[in-house]
Amino acid sequence: MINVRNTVALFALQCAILGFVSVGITPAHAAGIADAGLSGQTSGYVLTEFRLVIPGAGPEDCPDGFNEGYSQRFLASLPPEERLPYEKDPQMLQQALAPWYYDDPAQDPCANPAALPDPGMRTIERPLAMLRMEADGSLSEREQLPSQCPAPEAFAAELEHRTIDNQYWRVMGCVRGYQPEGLAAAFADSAILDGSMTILLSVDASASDAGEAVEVGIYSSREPVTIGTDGKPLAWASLPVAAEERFHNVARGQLHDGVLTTDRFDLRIIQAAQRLDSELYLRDARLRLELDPATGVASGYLAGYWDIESLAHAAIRIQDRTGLSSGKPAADAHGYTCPGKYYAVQRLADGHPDPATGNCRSISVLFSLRGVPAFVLDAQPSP
Amino acid sequence: MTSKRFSRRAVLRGIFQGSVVGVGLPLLDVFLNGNGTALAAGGPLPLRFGTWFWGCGMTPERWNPAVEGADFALTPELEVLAPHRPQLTVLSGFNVDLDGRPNQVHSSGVVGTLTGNAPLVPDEFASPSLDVLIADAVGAGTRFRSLEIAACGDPRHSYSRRSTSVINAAEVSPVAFYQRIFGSGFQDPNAATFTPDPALMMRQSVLSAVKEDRQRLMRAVSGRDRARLDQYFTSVRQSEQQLEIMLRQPEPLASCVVPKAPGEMPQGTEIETVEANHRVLARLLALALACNQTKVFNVVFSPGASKLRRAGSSADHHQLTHEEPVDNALGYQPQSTWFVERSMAAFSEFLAILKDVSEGEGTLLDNSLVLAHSETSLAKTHDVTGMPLMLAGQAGGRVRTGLHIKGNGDPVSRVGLSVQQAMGLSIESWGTGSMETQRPVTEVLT
Amino acid sequence: MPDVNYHRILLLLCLVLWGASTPAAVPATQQAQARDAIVAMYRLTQSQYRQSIADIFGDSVRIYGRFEPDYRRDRLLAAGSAWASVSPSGFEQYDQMGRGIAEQVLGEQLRGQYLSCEPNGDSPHHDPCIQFFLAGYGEKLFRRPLTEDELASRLDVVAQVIAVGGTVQEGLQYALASLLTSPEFLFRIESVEPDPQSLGQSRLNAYSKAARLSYFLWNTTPDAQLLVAAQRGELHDPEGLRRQVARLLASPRLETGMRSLFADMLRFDTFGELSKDVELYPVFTSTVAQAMQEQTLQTLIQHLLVENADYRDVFTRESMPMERQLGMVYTVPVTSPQGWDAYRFSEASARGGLLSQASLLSLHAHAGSSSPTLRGLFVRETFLCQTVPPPPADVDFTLEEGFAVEATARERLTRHRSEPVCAGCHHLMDPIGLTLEQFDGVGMYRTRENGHVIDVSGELDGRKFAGAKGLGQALSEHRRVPECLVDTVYRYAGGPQDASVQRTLLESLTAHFAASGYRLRDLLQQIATSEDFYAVSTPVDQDA
Repeated sequence: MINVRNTVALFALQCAILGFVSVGITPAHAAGIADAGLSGQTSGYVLTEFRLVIPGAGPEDCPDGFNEGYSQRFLASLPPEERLPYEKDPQMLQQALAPWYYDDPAQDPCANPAALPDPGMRTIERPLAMLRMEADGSLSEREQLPSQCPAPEAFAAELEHRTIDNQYWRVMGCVRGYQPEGLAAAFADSAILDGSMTILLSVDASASDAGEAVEVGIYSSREPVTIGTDGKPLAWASLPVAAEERFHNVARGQLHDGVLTTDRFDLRIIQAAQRLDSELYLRDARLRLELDPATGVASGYLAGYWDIESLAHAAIRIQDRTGLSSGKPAADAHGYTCPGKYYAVQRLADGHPDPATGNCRSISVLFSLRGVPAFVLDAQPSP
Repeated sequence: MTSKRFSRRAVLRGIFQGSVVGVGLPLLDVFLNGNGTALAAGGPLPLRFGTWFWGCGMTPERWNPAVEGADFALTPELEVLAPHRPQLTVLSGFNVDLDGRPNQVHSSGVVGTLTGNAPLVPDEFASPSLDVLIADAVGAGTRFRSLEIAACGDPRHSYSRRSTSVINAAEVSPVAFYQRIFGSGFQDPNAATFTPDPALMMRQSVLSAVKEDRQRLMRAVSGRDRARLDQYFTSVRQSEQQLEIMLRQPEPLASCVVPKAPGEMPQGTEIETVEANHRVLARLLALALACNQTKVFNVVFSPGASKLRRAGSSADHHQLTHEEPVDNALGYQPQSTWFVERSMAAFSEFLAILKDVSEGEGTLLDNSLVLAHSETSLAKTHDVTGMPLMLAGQAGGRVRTGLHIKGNGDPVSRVGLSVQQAMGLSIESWGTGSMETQRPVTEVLT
Repeated sequence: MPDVNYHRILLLLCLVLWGASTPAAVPATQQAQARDAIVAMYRLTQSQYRQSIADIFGDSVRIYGRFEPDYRRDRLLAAGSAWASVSPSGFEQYDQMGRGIAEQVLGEQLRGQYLSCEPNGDSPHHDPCIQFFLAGYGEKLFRRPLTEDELASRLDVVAQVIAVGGTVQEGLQYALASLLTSPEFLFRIESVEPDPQSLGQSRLNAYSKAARLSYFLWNTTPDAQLLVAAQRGELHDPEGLRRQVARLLASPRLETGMRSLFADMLRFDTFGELSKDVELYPVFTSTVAQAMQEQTLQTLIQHLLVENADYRDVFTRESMPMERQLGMVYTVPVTSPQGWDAYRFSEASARGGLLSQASLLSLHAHAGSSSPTLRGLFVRETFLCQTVPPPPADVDFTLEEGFAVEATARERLTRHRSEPVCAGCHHLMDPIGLTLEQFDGVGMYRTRENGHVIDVSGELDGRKFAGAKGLGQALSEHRRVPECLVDTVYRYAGGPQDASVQRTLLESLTAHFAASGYRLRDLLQQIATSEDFYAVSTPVDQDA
């Protein structure tokens, strides 16, 4: 007799021999747990989501309609009979509005918005019920009028107890590209996914007891996240923090029932996406994180006062990695103008008033974020 | 070296060169069998045979039609084939007889259907599969003896076998499949001019040198290795025939259209990925047939013990057939039947793709005979009685369709015998043991 | 306990019914060998073909084509290669690959590297340059000098190509292609010659010995030195053979050969078709799948070749190579930004030993879940060389309602094993696989399934333990484990199939392996220098 049972082809083996699993569709499961040999270490996270909270304009929020970008303004400026050729041929329209990128920043309306007159920007002025971060790290949603720029002494005095509003939403609320179906939402997280912007969190694990003080680190990393087969960043990556200490932010906080809230801290992280190469500078920020022990996921909000100069660099001028400004094409795609946005930010700014002029130099903003477990490593030279 | 050593060769060489220079074509008739005839101008359209396999069978009470003959109603698992009902004959109740041999799960059914033998061990092909027998008889006039495709990404998913270890591996990548058919070596039958490629003649000389090693090797080898070498040289001969065909001006074929090259596609066992691959591969196959590159094909949508699965599900089709409880209210396994229905939908799509190619008065399907089969009836218990079988296409008028035929426990080899006879093979008997039969399914033969 | 006895009996029954038996073979002494008779033919595996081409023509030559799938038999592709032939579509591919290689070798760009003289096409049969080129590469490809007929038929090709309008370079190109598609290249053919030391007996000829050695230890074609040793008859002399074996073992190329052995034994060729659910196991990217295999091969190379350590200890080894991508599977930090670093799992970790590596855990699991049964089967087959029969065909696997929602695999399998017809063989597999349940379908660590704590207790042949580390310990002390490696390496190397020769040889090899402290290098040396390893038996007549 020849030896026959081993001729079972591999697929037959794998198929014919039963293994037993639960039947049916199971929900996407947790990211796994850390190796059992790693207890007692700091827990780290890499952000998989980092988004501006842009709730969308209600029916009465923008009584005069949405703002118009450069193209729309140009078309509106023409007599109706002259518009048709431009509307039919987008290339002709582009040419009419050229240049889109300026070699000379002095000529660039987006690099230099303050040098131009205010063309006006429609913002949300009515009372809004939207998410805001309270001083204790909780979120509230009361209906409120726009915050006002306080007097310098008043701001300093109330800072510790002040609710951080989301005035930036009032600035952008009547912009087409910032509506829930718009361009900004479509690009949400793309900076993380395309590797432009990696943000790490570390939470000192010694604070497992209720109410105990914890130290939270928020870092930029120069290394891209790794994308899994589901198209999302993978958990448990080993990622070093960026070498620049400027991007090492430390906050103190408390842990209560799996919810971590921090005291005020200043934050600087790399803000990059596609061509954008900038920094996000938030002052007197607060972080709220909910840690889910079952899935290992951390999710929450970051609120703070966005320094206007940093904002202008990253979100108006849109300083690009080639040294040019992408502000104008971005403004046109979303539907606003750079000077309009610049003056609107100034008008609605509600933080850090300048002692000399009394003008506010920062504007409140709210981000939502979500992170999965990661190993946050010390800085090391990029490979 | 002395010239004496080469005297025999010099003669051979002279003949060879003479034939090349003076006669031009063909070079190697001596190695071709008598079936190497190409289409006669104005002759009948080519007749094709193919198999279409899906894994893990069906649910008998939801698949088998109740009424025999032309008035049967399509059942829930067959419903999706409604558009092809006139071109389809459903065969139920035919058995693979094991004759006391073990039921080699997920293997006995397919081997039994394709060879008329119950395998002694898994995947044992004691004789060639049906398609190989048919290709031996009718396939010689085309560039490829047969073409195999598999939609689940694994080239081993092929039941086209000359023996246990000689497997016609399947193409799984649309890009590679396209290259093989329409890449270099493809002669557009509708091209205005025909110039035999001298490179083909050079390739012929390569093969003839290889064959010269044959005598010595065959003298030195015995037993199993002899059969293996024989197979090797059979393959060489087939390559020679391919070259021979490529050196002839092909007959114009109105329905032959050279498609655009496909892009790379993801591979895997997730159902939608498999369906997408199956669709693209099948379209290329249909055009390969329309361009008369082959007359025989084999498609594996999912292999025996199918691993098809839905995204996010922890269990695949095979696991479900065994582990999913029968729903008391429904009376069947709802998730398993879902996969059967999707498999039948894929077969329906395959037939639609063949129908999309017009040929003469009808379609490519009209000039084809497709045997659809699986490795079990109810996969839950690896049942090889009442195998699900379908014949599609009328084989240029040689096969009657639109019927449901009950086998009433007859051996499945009756179907294999009928298929061979429909394809013009002169055999009277096929199968071994209880499956040896002289009785074709006469209802389907015209 | 009656229950235990019951399982014992079933176990025995399984092993007896399905245990290995040996193909019938007639010793050479009983049947005279024809002169130059072929006694074995091995179709080059994909990796052997690639490696041989790379060694003969260099790394810059690329191979275009699809290989016919290798054929596994008795658990090894190496064993299956003695059965595989070439199908028509397979030949079509070999033909294409051969022409592709020849086109590169004789194309304008690279020709100078291979052709040092100027061929003259006026009279190819008498041109020394053409003869030199074809005889030289012919010897490398056929692993022996070409016969006059073989060379002459290639010279014919040159002449024929020129006759239909080709250049002399094209002539050489097609002649080279005909060497590359010849059965003498595609198969490693072993032939015998009369043994001058014992009248009427045959022995493997020297070139067959050289090729067997080379593919065994380096997984590639014999190098120039080995061919010279064969030509001089040194391989028939025990001292000469020992010298060559020592040289092959000392070479860094031994690593290539052993990687191939391990990849074959662990079935890594099936990784290409391994598919995991993208939502459930997002970490299973193609990069990660590649790194998993690399990690296991590196572990084995490090342990067995570099450290020359005890084979049994690989099942308890705490250190394994790690890199960034794999860190995400093992959920451990990896500090080194690039490449591989040794990572040592701590005492508290559930991980340790070869069986806790993600490659093996992924390969023996389903697309959407783990599988204690498949893992148990793999351990039995691969490390204990035992065979477990497939489930009976007519068994109804569906159990009562609620089966599917059982919390953990253990509960599901326990219910299943209450069926006596299943219990006998599942009892051989599940108690092994269940100890690995803390690793999911891609080998990621977990302590719960469906919210329930996973119990990892289990047993192997009467010994009870828990978890992957317990399993590793049990295997490292299991008598069959070293025996099974000896058996696997021996069959991989292509030793004689004759039952009595094999039995004696395996026994003595196993004893030597133990005496050496279970060092792989010693085992390889012992096999390659043993006289019986080259004993000749006639081929088996049955077809597969």
